[in-house]
Amino acid sequence: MKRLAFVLLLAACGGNGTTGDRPTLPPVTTPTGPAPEVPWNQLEGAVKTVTVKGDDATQTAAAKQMLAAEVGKPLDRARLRDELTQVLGIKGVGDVNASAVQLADGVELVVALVPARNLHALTAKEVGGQDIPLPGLLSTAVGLPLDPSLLAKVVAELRAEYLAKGYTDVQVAWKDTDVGTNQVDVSIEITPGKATTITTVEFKGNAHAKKADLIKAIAGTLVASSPWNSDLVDRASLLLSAYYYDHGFINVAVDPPKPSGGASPVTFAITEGDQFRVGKIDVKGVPDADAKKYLAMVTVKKGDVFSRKLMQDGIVKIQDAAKTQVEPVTKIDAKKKTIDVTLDLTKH
Amino acid sequence: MKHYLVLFLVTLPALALARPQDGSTAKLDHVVATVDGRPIFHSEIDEIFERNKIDKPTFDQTQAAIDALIDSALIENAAVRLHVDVTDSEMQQAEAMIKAENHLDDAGLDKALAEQHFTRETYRRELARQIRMQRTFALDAPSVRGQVTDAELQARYDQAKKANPSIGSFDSLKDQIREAVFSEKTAIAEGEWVKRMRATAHVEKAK
Repeated sequence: MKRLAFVLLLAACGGNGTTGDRPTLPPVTTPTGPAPEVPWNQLEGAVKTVTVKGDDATQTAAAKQMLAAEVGKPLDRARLRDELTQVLGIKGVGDVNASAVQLADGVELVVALVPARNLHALTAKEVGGQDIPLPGLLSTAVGLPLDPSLLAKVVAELRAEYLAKGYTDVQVAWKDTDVGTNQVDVSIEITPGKATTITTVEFKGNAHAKKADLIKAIAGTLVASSPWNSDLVDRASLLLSAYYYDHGFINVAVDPPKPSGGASPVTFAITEGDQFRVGKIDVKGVPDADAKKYLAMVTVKKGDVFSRKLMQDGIVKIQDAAKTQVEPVTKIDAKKKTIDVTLDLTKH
Repeated sequence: MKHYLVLFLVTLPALALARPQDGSTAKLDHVVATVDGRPIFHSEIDEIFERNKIDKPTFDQTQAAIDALIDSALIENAAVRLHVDVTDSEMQQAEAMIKAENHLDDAGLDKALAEQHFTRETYRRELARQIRMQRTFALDAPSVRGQVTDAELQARYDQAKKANPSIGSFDSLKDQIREAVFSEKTAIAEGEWVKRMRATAHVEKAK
């Protein structure tokens, strides 16, 4: 570009040596040297061809197939990302680099494949402890290209094993170290932390619910003298909230306990809030006769303690009978501690 | 002389708008990081800066963008693990809702999106990502979502009343306060959830 501008500048100054009235353009010169690099969005035209560069013919053929849909379309990096992600999934491909070349009648898309490093050695051990046996998934991995997604699966498997034993803070990570040409050593390191065991299940703040009822509500989740399991603790918290919602405590908050790192009770701190009763219930959007019929399907009545489950059961029955969606609209009266419910069938 | 000058002035803008010469090359994309094998591409960082109208991002801004994309990748990985997805009809509903809430027709939406450097397609992807994130969070960390007690509501109201005595009664603002506190607590819980996932993920940044 600089060269061309210089030629033009000479022309502007009359520097071509001609004296006639009509301007004479200087001879067209073809720039020499490497073609310039430009921002990608300055390239013009649709993708004309796709070139895949790589050492492995199988990989390049597979990549070319994945990128074939680009031909005929303008460059779109968001779409290309999806295709490059697929290319990265080809066995033995470690990295990709995409570029483009301006052609006279479009753009050449060029994707260079970088081979994955080969796994030279693999170990797994607890930090400060001894080596642990490698999971079966990795038994044949040595000597093959490094596969990060396989390692991610193994890490998840090892983590799950430790979590199941109550090691709630377990950290499992893998590190790679380059050794020699395109070879890598991988070490999986496990930092177990402390294991937590649940001795008993306790509740705090349950002024309106007996411990036995709450234990029944979380049946099938937490068991005394078992390793801590965060998923089960979460599930128990949800079941406790559900118990309270079905007993009118619509503002209940259950604070999920945290693992203590030893043998200790699991204690749920409950803030019950006020108990609410059902106010007015009506059905909207259908003739009166239907409304009466549908209303009878809801087993909770005015004055009853509000129950989310019973209300939901009634809604499901109405939906089945009316073959339409029911939208429950609630109006809460914080002073009277009532909830009015309108079952709206008009919107669907 | 005059002729040449005119020619020069006319030619310069034309040159500036001309398509690149044949053989010109452009870098399109490369991987900047991986999160448990999921790649993050440089073009994703560019898009963040385009949308935020940042022409020359600093090093810190670039690192912050990479971190945000790593968090997003962690959530996408969790969504895959939990089989969370969004159907076409759910996407259509979400799009219809956005148009209705913003009083936009198709052309209006496209115009608004273009101002944010989105095409309809890229926006749909972003929308789907956001819906997946909410669902994944609800599934993966159900009990840590913000729960709001009456005591918290009262405390927040008292604080606001002290700062501005002219605000309405507690009852009139209760629902509004509940929504605000719930959003805050949920955002904090989401942050902690992502932090926990990051602690157990293999994140590799390109050297």
